[in-house]
Amino acid sequence: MLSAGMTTGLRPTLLLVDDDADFLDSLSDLLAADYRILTARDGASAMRALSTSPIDLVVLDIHMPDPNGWAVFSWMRREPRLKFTPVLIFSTHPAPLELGEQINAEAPCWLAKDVDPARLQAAIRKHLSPAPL
Amino acid sequence: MSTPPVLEGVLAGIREGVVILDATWRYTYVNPAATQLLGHDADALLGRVAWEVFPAVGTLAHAELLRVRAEGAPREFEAPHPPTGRVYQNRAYPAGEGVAVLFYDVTERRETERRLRASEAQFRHLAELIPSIVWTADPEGTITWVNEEWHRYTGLSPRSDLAGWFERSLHPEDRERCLSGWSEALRSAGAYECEARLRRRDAMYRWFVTRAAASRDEEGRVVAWFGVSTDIHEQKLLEERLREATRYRDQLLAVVSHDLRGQLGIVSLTASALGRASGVEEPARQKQRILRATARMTALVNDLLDSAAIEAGQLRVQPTRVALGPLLDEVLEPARTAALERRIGLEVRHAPGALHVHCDRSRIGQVLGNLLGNAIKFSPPGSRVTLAAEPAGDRVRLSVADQGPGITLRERERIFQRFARASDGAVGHGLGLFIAQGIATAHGTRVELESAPDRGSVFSIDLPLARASEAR
Repeated sequence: MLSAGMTTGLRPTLLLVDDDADFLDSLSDLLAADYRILTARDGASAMRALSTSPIDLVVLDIHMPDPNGWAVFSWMRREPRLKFTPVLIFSTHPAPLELGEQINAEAPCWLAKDVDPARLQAAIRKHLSPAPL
Repeated sequence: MSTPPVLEGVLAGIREGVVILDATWRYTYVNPAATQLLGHDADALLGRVAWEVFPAVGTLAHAELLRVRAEGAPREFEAPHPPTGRVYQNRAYPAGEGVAVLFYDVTERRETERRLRASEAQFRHLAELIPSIVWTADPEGTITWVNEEWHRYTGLSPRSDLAGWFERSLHPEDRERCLSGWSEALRSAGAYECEARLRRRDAMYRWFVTRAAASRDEEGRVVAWFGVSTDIHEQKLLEERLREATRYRDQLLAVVSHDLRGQLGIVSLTASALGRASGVEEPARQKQRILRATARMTALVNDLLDSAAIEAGQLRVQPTRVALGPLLDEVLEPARTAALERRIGLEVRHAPGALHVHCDRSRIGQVLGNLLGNAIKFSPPGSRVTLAAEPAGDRVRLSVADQGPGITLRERERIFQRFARASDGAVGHGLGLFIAQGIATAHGTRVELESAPDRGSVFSIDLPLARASEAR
């Protein structure tokens, strides 16, 4: 699968979704040098962005007012166009999948919100590399 | 006396003793069983007067035999036989001028019955010592006996109220569950156990665990049920408290891991990004963001400590004479940014003149700040939030009114509980109103709520007006 960024030769585009503006700004500051950044403060805006813009990877907070991160994730997995878009999920609960495990259509990559920034960047790089088809 | 050979054979073979006495009470016939039972050979008996062989004159046996002859009618009686120390069941029939007696040994049976009675007396004695309701029931499950504890607990009388007591005493919510288990136990003769509330004499219910087991005879048939109902009320309450404490711990962990991690994430991500940003204003913006995150973490830790103190009943307040005007201004100040961001109008109304109230200044500031924060958070953009102080008699009513969606009756109790949130996924850790109510309680007052769907909500707290003499 070719991503938007790779198709156009531009920097890959990330969609960051979180209802905490400070957290969103922190993520943007860290990642803005390497990626094109889109942000959404709630699930509905995230779905709109995903519907209208080519996005290479989504960083998604689970804990948001409805529609929450789960709703966004499930919706993406039902959308043929977004089915294989990698998703990094921020969740309170211990990750059912350790960072570094293969992301596939069913299982997202789980991260705690206090994840080490270097590990977060590594995870993004890893999941942006083209998956063998 | 002559008997046909067949009959002779029968009498010789049976286990019952048979003797025939003539008109002068002499033995004219004894069968082999009789010689054994009486402990004498036939030779030592035949032709002799019974009262000479066995000095029985004046005994029950003597009297009964005299009656048989006198009345010419059979008699049945049980009598001890002192020479052998046995007890015989006797059937005496008129036989010509004399009497025929058929008798057999019932010593073992009587002894067994005596032991059974003694054992039952011991069982009841023991049952009275058990601090539980002990009962027995027949094979069909009808209660036949209960110990004194039953009477003490139920206040009922065994004579009139025993039948159906268990069914009638069960709490309505436990009845079906317990009775279906009981029917199943009666059907299968298996062990029975059920936890249920039973009605006490004062119509209160307490939790009991009832266990019952069937008692069987040698053929395996159920002959009775034994049951014990033990009061486990205190244990149940403790279990409930333990469950509550566990739930609290889980909620606490969830709040800490979510809220603290989010803020820690802001600090570490922003710190990593320091120096990378291009804009001139970026470092100042990032510094502010880190400071906000640390302030939120401090506030969360304080809230957790406050809620723990409230839960333990250890929240202390130090009331002084407080000027309301400056306090309201102080509370309003940090709310302005949030209100502006959400396009909500903030309004303050208070009576003319300088009002003073008697309260813990920083704690009441905390309550008002929380109420104001909630009002702004849950109000639709473009609506108005009003902070008001109105004197009423010797008290002042401080209130925060919003034009939000209102709070349903069902939600009203819940929102003052720890970790209650407006909705799943709503922002905040759910401690604010719990703490506000705790602070109000420590002041001897309450946070009151008036609300109707789509009419907004008014949270208020009453505080005493401070007298001038209280000025420091």
